[in-house]
Amino acid sequence: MTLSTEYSNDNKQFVIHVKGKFDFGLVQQFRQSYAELKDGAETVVVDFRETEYIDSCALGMLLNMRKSVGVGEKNFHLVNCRPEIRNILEIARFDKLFHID
Amino acid sequence: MMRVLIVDDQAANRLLLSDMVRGFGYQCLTVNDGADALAVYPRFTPDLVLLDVLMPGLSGLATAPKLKQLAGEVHLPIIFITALDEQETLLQCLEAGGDDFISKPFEPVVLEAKLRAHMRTRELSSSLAEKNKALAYHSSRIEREHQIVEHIFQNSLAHNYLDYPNLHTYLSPMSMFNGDLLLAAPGPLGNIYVLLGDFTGHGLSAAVGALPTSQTFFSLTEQGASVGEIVREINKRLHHLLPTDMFLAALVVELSASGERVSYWNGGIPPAVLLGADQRAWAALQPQHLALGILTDNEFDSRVSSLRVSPDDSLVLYTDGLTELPAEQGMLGVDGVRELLQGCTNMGELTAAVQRLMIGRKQRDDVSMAWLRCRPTGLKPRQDNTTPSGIPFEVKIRLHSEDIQQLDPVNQIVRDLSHIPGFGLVKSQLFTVLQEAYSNALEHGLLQLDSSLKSTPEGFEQYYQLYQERLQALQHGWIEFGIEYCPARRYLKLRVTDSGTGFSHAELVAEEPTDDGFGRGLQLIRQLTSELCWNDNGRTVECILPM
Repeated sequence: MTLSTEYSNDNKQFVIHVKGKFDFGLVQQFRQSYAELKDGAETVVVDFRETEYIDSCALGMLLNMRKSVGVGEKNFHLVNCRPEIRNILEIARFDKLFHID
Repeated sequence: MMRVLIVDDQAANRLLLSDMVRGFGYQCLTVNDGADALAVYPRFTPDLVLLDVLMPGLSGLATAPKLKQLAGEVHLPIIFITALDEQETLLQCLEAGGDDFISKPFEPVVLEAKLRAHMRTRELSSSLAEKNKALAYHSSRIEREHQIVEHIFQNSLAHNYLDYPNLHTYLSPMSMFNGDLLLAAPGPLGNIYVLLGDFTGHGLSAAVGALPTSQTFFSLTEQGASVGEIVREINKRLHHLLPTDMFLAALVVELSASGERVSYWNGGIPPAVLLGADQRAWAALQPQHLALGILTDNEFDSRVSSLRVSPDDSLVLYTDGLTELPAEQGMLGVDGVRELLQGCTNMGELTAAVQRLMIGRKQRDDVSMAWLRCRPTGLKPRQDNTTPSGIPFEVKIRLHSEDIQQLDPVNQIVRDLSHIPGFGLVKSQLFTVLQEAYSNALEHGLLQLDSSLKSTPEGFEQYYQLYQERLQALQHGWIEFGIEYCPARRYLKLRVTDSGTGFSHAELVAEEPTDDGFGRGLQLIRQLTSELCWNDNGRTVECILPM
């Protein structure tokens, strides 16, 4: 299982974990993961702690998520990034669109 | 058979007494004076002494204390033989250590009764001495075992990172034997983990449970596991190992490298308090779960909570030893702890405040506390420190349509290369660059896909559907990787060529990232590499990845 999701205790946070490669192979799975987001969830968190690689397609998927879940309505956090992955997110200027931690 | 030593200077008395004593069923030895009595003592080891008061040489009064001394820990009854009923002599006999008197003429019934009574005392004392000895043995054995467990425990906690500068703790010195456990460990991302635990029970059993807990904690934190994974694994191990009535209340906290995000799971620990810069408690990490070791893995709920914190915040963790401290009305309680914290700006002040509460009162439970400052951790993400390989090489990999359909080439190439010393450091960048170049060659060179499709979320997915369809239908074509490692100049020269028709790259070499996928991919390659160029009418892309 390369992609798993969970809600926090208070259901206010929805967390997506991506294991290993975050690339075009996850296009459908990733979109489905947030398709039925509960109303109470205020923040969508993508946890990169187990993500080894990402490519530009993953960047596209993150942008799509932001667009379809609703910019302005939810907070989007990209957390636990390794320095290399953080570097890629910063090159793509994602720090302007997401809260990167 | 119990032994009676008869000490008398008069032969008649000796004869009379020894006859009677033997008749009662005791073994018996007679001597003439005090000096002889002391001389035979080690050999005969009497259980009771009949001692004459007035004897030439060492008198009975002088002999009695010496006999008592020889007897050591086990009580040796001494009955004085006396013809006198002078009050004063009797008093002296008692002071000399005498336990009873028998006066001449001897009355057999009285003598027997006295002997039996004192023999019983002797027996009781002797069995008590045996038990004391056994007790002392067990006590020293437990002491030794505690030392061994403590030793093992200290070693297993050798990596406990309680010296982390932003973490201050208060633990009683023998805390492992009262069941409290405080663990801290840095993660590979520069993050820090803290576990505060409280085992049911005390003593060795609590310490034994701490071993698998700390081992699991340290091994998972080293891998950078999430709080949810850590508590799930500890729960699984403890549920398997511990008896039903034993469990671990625990609070596991992770502070991100930036110091801005706290994730936690609390099973049965009093609510840890988040203090703002003004010392006001603005949040509490409430216990939301059952303690660890109670539920099966299927029943277990590993959901965590998280909070955003700022650099002036502090997180104060404590066990129920603190809430149970005596206060004006009953116990301090959770509210009392909050009040106590209002006046504290650091661990030193909190410790002083807690110790003031303890003065003159018997502590019911041991108090463990930790004060974590929510600042950027300053911990360096873990890095590969191996010396890069000194052997230059060049590889060429040509993939034909069937390879392209079946393999996940970039992932495999990067995985294999990352085993070469020094490549671990750049594997992520290498993956991204090769993957972008490969995707470009495949999607545009071989599959002739149009990037503009990706500009809407629907189109994005449609694009990848089309990608799958065309890939499956692919009959001809190839993609070739060229990878050249130059250790002297510390770089990797990367080349990706495809058999497609090529394209004018000029339209793609826009400086600003566009919103479509390829523009973004190109931007990544451009930032991660140098000397990026296209050849063969756009069919070959080349670049240099510094190492």
